Amino acid sequence: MSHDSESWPPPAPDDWAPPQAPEHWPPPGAQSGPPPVTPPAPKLGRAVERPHPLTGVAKSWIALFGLVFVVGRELIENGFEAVRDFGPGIWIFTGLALLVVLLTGIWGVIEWRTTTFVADEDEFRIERNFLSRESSRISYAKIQAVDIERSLAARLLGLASVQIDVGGAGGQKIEFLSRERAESLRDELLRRMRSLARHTDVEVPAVASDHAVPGGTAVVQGQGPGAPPAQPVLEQVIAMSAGTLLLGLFVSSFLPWLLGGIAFLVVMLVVGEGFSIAAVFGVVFGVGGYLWSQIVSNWNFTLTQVPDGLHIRRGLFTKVSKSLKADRIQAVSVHQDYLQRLTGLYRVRVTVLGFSGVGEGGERSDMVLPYGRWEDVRRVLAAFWPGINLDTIPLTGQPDRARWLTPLGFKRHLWGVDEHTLVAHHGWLDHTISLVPHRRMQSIGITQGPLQRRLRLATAAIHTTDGPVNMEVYHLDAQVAREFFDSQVERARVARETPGEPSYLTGFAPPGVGEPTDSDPGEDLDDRHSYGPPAAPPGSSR
Amino acid sequence: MPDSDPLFRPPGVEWRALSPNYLKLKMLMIFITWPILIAVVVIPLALWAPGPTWWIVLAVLLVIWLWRILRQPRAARRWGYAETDVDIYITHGLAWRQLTGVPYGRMQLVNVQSGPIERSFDLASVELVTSSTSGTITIPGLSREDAAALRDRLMERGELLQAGI
Repeated sequence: MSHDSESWPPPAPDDWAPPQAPEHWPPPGAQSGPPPVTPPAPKLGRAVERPHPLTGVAKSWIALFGLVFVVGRELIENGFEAVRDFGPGIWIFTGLALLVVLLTGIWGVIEWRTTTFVADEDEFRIERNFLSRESSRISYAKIQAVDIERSLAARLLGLASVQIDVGGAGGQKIEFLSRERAESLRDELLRRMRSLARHTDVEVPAVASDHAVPGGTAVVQGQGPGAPPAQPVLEQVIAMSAGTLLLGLFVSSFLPWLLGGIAFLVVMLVVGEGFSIAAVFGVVFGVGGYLWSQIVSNWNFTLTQVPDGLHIRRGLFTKVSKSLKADRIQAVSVHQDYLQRLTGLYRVRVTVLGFSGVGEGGERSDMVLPYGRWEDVRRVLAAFWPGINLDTIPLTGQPDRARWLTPLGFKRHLWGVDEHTLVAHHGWLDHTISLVPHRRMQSIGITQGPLQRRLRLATAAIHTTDGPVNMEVYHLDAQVAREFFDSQVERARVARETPGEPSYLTGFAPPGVGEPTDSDPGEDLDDRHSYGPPAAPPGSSR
Repeated sequence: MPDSDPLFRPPGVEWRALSPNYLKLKMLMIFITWPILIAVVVIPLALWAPGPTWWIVLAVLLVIWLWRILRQPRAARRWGYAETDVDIYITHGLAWRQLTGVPYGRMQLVNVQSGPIERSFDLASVELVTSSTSGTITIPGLSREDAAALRDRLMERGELLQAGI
């Protein structure tokens, strides 16, 4: 409704640059990437800013769109007579829809008037004072990435929203800014973030592993222009054979599903009664699809050690090639399900800072070893955390009275801690080993339910960034739990305050040599955080 | 104040309690929401299912309500937070008890929130956000002044002890 936008004389706030909206109407194509040249950024200073006045319009666009669509279609299909024939119904509908548009619009305007943000020297602050008063502060050092998003409505109005990613929970979104302001704000935030992250930005040379000879053990690679004097040694850690893949896949908890599916098909074919194409297709696609996707995506899985982490290549048709920086790996879980205990195969997954685990193609990208023997597990672990040896950590069990709560898996719940790592074993039929270095601990918790309280037991949990690894030690003696809590807090503090990434977590001399190499965007799929600093600035204690 | 359970003893610094207004707010909410809830459940029952069912349900709900009212003061007293040099500790819960320790350096951001009802009681809650969802906790029911001061202290120490991720 055009009169809506006219009834919105954008009441420019005092410190607001003139809105750019009219110039962007019609929108400049579908370009979403940042333009090559950014206009001179307004000085940030301590100025308090507001989102763009057209925010309300952009937010009520769904209602507006629905109204235009329904009424417009009615008009086009049936002409004006239809409106007359339809009687008062259409007017009531239009009135209601207009009301919705108006209310969401007003809501948006109030939200806009009550939202302010400041980017000053040390932090970025957003204040929302509408229904509830909310004030969020983000220090620049915590920012992992800054993205600009442009929905359809925002594009039409020449607006953009800025999303600030802080790695885990607690990201913030500012809706909406003019496109120029959004871009200059992003650049400004990134500039401040970079100047705070004093870690040299060393990119994993994704190109290098392309030349790695399969089966070769030590391939020396140059890195193109600006190569550091020390040539990195690339070592292939794992090259999974097709046999291992098939063995691991078929002798696993997937087997019952496969057998069940086959049995179902056989029964269907033999009996013939009630033969349903839909059911057969369902089974074939369900079971076969999983089988197929596992084989296709994990085919030729190779893991290569590169200067600051790992490089994974896998896939039958779509080759996936992806870098994992060692300093982004937060926790590890080694898992073996009940049938894999027969074959002695394990799967290794990691919690990585900054991605949710489902990567391109919907495939899990947090898998660093799809199937492998215990020696393989050890080799993978040693590839990114060379100083951590699972076998030397002394393990303790639960106190006897915990049998009341874990009668079946009692003997298999073990935990241990050494100077660098916490490890926990769980499982009755299956077996999971979780591993978190103290340096990667975010926070720590103790919980105690009523039953545990009666038995004088408690559960301790180590929180890491979100991912597949869950680190919990349950049913400890209450006193032991609290002692562990206190000592773990201390161990984590010491580990955090050690300057630089410790050698047990890298195994390499601290990187910082050489220029960031240009990684091929088609190859390096881990560039979602291309704006971010490479995780932990190592000289972290300031 | 949390009671003298050695598992949840204070970490060197005494537990600080929430604002007394927090209990008032909680009690008010219990007295307002529970009658509505009970009415929503019991009135249709009484209309459509005559017989003893509805007053048994009513009795059970009333008992639960009474129990909530009686336990609320203790539950509110179980809340406590303590700031040491490097971490902040929070404990709460009556049946399911919790103790969480969050290093200042791990805090991604600190939110202060105060809804209209909270505001009328001069209350605000402080949300400590880390990179971990399970480590993200909210201290409810601080006086607004305390909340802002706590937020500022946390941010300041967080910057001092910056630990990346």
